[in-house]
Amino acid sequence: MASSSSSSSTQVKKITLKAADGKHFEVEEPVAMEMETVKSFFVGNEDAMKDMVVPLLNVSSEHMPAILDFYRNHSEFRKRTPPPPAEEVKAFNEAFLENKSDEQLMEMIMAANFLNTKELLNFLTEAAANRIKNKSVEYVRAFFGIENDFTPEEEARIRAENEWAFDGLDED
Amino acid sequence: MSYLPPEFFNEILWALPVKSLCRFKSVSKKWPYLISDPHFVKTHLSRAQTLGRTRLLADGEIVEVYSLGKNSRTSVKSGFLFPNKYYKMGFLVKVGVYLNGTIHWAFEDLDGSCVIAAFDLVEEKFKTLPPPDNVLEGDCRYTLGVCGRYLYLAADKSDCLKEFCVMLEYGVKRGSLS
Repeated sequence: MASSSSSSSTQVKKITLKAADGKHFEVEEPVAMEMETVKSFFVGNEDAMKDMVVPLLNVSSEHMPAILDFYRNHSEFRKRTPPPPAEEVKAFNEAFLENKSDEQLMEMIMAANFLNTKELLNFLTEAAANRIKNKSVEYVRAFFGIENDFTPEEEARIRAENEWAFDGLDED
Repeated sequence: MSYLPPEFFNEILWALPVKSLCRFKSVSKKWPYLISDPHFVKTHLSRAQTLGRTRLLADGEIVEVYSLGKNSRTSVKSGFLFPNKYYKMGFLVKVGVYLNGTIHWAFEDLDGSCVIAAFDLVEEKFKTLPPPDNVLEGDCRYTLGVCGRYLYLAADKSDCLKEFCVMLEYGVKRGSLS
């Protein structure tokens, strides 16, 4: 996986972020500024960057390295000319999602929402959608933790109305 | 296991193809309302467009028409009938072709004539385009495609005749054969 975090010898300004569980992360300023939540923290208060610790209340330290890695790579993808080949972006994205459980994915969705970064949020929600799009209704209930509150008759009727949509599902 | 709070459901559902959405109306009593909500439908549409996946895009619009939006369903029926097989396989989606904010299909009508159906995404209305003059008819398979700003129609007749027409000006029939 491509993680090209700048070495400590470079002059890039760092910002300290504090994850929900108290762990600190020193992050290069441009990477930190990918997060709207962090950016807005410093609006009109740019001097504070040196010594301020930004609390990220909804982001667990477990997910911070992956999330930062996403920002680093995707901002590099955006800036590069010519743009990176689609396969390279795809390979990074696939590696990013590999071995992530549904639960981890959901936690990261909430983190991305809190950090207010559309790119990451869209990427993660799309990944979640891909995990369920060919799955059964029962699978989706379990995925979201939703209870079936239809009566058997009601459920049979609504299924019949959408019968065509039940073809060709993946196994749960 | 902790679950995603309900306020995040839409974020994921917006990224789903319509076939999945129709199936997931059976998840719980709330979901049909969630999925048919006008705001949801609009966002789903624009999200599907920004995803830039043509097939998904077509997915979005179509079913928003005949499955998520009840009114348009009527207009489909009053105007023309899509061949049955299109629905069955979720096929309607796949054969639709996008051009000028409109999705197009070409198929053989019950009487054997060529129908070019179009769904205008802005007006959210169905209409038909006049097929090219003297287009091959009877036991024909029609395929639409887009080349630049033009829509083209390929007709493949079961007796091996083939025809290729380019509809030069949008909505105006002009045939050129080969």
